[in-house]
Amino acid sequence: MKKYSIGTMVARIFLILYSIIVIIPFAMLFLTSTKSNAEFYKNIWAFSGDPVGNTIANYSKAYTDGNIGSSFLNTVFICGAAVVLTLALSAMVSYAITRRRLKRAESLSFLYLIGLLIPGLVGLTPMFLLARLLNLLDTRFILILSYGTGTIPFCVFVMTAFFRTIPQDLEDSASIDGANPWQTFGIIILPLVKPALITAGIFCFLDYWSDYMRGLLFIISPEKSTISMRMLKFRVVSGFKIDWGVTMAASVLFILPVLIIYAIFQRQLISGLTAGSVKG
Amino acid sequence: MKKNFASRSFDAVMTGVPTVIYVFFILLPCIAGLFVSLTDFGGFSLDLKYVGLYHYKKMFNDPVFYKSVWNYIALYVGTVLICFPLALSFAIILTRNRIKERNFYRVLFFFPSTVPLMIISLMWMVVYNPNFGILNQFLGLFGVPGQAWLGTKDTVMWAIIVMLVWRQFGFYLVFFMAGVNNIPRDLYESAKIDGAGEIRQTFYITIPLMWEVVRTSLVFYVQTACNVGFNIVYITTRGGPDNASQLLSSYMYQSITEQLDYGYASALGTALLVITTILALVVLRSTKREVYQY
Repeated sequence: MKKYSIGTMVARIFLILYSIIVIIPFAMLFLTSTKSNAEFYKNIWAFSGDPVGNTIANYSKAYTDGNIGSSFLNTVFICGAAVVLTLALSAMVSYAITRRRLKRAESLSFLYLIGLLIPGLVGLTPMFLLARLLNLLDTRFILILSYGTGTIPFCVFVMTAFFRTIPQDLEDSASIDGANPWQTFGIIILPLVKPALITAGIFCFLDYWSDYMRGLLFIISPEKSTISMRMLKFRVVSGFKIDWGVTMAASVLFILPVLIIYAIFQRQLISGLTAGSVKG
Repeated sequence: MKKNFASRSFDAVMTGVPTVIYVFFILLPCIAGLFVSLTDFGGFSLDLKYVGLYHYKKMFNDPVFYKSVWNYIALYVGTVLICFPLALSFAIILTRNRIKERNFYRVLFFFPSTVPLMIISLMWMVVYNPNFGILNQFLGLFGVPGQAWLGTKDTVMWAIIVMLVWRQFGFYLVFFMAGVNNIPRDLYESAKIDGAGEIRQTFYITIPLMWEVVRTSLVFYVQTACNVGFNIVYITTRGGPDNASQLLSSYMYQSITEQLDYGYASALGTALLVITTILALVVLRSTKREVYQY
C-alpha cells in the first residue's frame, strides 16, 4: 500500500479541487437566491445585508411569478402518470424478454436497444402531426403519452438487467404450486423487482420533471403548463437583464424535489443504474 | 418445454402490448419524419401540400446546417476526449487504491447528472458572465483578461464542452467504478505474483477488461450528447452568437418553435437520425478490440 501513497495524495488533491468546482455553482445558486439584484451585481460572493428580508422577497416573488403553487400539482400529476405508464409497459416486456424463454427474445431486446440510440428529437414532428390529427394538442394526455413512451427503452435496459438476477427456481416452484403466469408475475416477481422499478421510475420522473422541449410543443394553456415551462417563461419575461435573485430562488424551488429525491435514494439510484448494465 | 394456451397468451400480451405502443409512438415517428419532410406542414393546417425534395435542397444549401452538424460532432468528440479518460482514470484510482471517502465523491460527482439542465445552464451563465462571472474573476487573479465566454464565436463551443463535461463526468465515473469493481480480485493477485506493477496491471488488466463498458458508454453517448447539448444551447446561447454554437438538434427545434417550419425541421430530424447512426457505427467500428471473458 505504501507505494501508492504519493499517487493517492495527488489523486486526493484533484478530487478535492474538483469537488470545489462541483460545489461552487450550487453554492452560488443558494447564495444568490438570498440576495437582492443590486447586491448581486455589486459583489456576487458577498452575503446579503438583509438575508431574511431578501430571501422572503425573492422566494415569494418566484412563487407567484412562476405560478409554482398551481403548476406543482399539475406537473406531479403528469410526471406521475407517465412514470406509471412507462414502468408498466417496460416491466411487462422486460419480464417476457428475460424469463419466458421466448424464441425471439434476442431480437426483441435489440428492438428496444435501438430506441436508446435515437435522439428523442427525431420523432418529434411526426408526433406533433399525430397529436394534431387526433385533436390531442394541448391535452395532458399527449404529454403523458409522449413522456411515458419515450423512456421505455431506458427502463427496459435497466429492468432486463435486474430481472436476470432473479433465480428461475422461484417461477418454477410457483408454477408447480399451480400459479398461472399472471399470478407469478404480479404476486411473486413484481415485488421482487421493486428496487429496479424505483430506480427506473425515479430517473424517468427526473427526466420528465426537467423537460420543456415537449411541453412547449404540446401544451398551450397556462393551467396545463409544467413547472419547467414556467421556469422558461421566467427567464424570457425577465428579458436581457435577469433578476438573478428571483431567478435563482425559482431555480431552488424547481430543484428542491430533485434534491430531496436524490438525498433519499442516491444509493439506490447509483447501484440500480450500474447493477446489471455494466455487464452485458 | 411445451407451453400451454394460457402461457402462450400471457407471452403474447406481455410482449405485444408494450411493443405495439413502443413501435407506434417511438420507432414509427422516426421514419414518419421522412414523409413529413416532404410536405409543407406548418403546425396547424392539416391541408398538407407535397413539396418533394424542396426541404432537402434547402438543407444542403444551408450553411447553418453544415455548421450545426460540425458543431455536434465537435461537441461529441471534444467531450469524449476530455470526459472519458478523466472518468476512467479516476474510477480506477478511486476503486483500486481504495480511497476511503470514495463513496462521498461518488455521491457528490453524480449529483449534477440528476439536476435539470435548465438549472445547470443558469448556474453556468453566472460562471461565464463577462461582467461578474466567476471564471473571469478567477482568471483575473492571475492577470488573465476576462472574456465573454458564451458571447464570443471562438470560445462558445469550448464553454459548452466544459459544461457538458462538468455534468457528465460523475455519471461516467460511477459507471466505470462499477465496471472496475466487477473485475475479479484474483486477476490482480496473480499479476502481482508474476511481478506486474500497478501501472502494468492497469494497462494489461483493468483497461482491457473495462473496454466493453467504455465502448458501450461511447455509443450511448452519441444520443446523450445530442440531447444534453440541445438543452444547454437552448437556454444559454440559443445557438448564438451568429450560429457559432448551433447544434443540429437545437437548429431543428428552432425551426419548429421559431420558424414554425415543421417540414424543414423534419428534414433536419432525418439528417440527425442519419448522422447519429453513422457516428454510432463509426464509434463501434473504430473501438473494436478483442473481448475478454472473465
